[in-house]
Amino acid sequence: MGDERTATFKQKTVLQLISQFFQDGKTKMNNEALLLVTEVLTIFVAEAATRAVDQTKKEGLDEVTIDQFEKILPQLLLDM
Amino acid sequence: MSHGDDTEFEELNNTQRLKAALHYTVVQICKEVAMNEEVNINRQFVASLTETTWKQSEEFARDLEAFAKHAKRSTVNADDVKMLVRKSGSLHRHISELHQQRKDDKETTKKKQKSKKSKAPDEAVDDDSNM
Repeated sequence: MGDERTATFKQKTVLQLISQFFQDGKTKMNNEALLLVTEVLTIFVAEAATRAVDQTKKEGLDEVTIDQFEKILPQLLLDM
Repeated sequence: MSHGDDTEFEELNNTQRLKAALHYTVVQICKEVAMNEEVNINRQFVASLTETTWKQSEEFARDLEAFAKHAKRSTVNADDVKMLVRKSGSLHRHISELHQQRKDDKETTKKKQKSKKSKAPDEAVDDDSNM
C-alpha cells in the first residue's frame, strides 16, 4: 500500500496543526518527529478510507457514506 | 479591547485555513484509495473524515507533548512519535523502519561531505587516496 501512495500531508500544515494543540507554548517539534507524525496522519486517513470502502463492498453498495464511516470508526480509533 | 477581537478573528481564519488544507489532502488520499475500487466516496464521508482527523491530531498533540514532558524535554522527537503508535504493531514497525531509513540517509550524506572535505585537492583522482 505504501508504495503506490503519493498524496500526503504537507509538513508545514502538519506542523501548524499539531503545534496549535500544544498546551505549553514552549513545546516544539523537531524535523524527524514532524516527518513521522506526517506519515502517521497520512496512514490514519488512508486506513479509514480503506476500511470504509471494504465495509461498503461488504454491504453490496457502491457509495461510501457516513453510515459506513460510523461502523468502522470505533475500531479504527481503538487501533490507533 | 478591540485588539483582542482582532486576534480572535485572525485565529479563526487560521483555523479555517488549516482545516481547508487538511480537507484538501484528505480528498486526495480518498481519491487514491477509491481509484481502483468500484465504489464512490461521497462528500459527507470526506467531511467527517476531515473532522475526525482534526480531533485525532489534537489527541496526538496532547500525547506527544505529555511524552516529551515526561522525558523532561520541551521538544517532541522521533521517540515520542514511536511511543504514540506503540499499540499498533504494524504501524509501529513501519514508523520505526522509516525513522531508521532516515537516519541511514543522513549518515551517508554526512560521510560523503566528510570524504569530500578530507580529500586533498592535489590528489583528487583516487577515491582512497588517503589510505
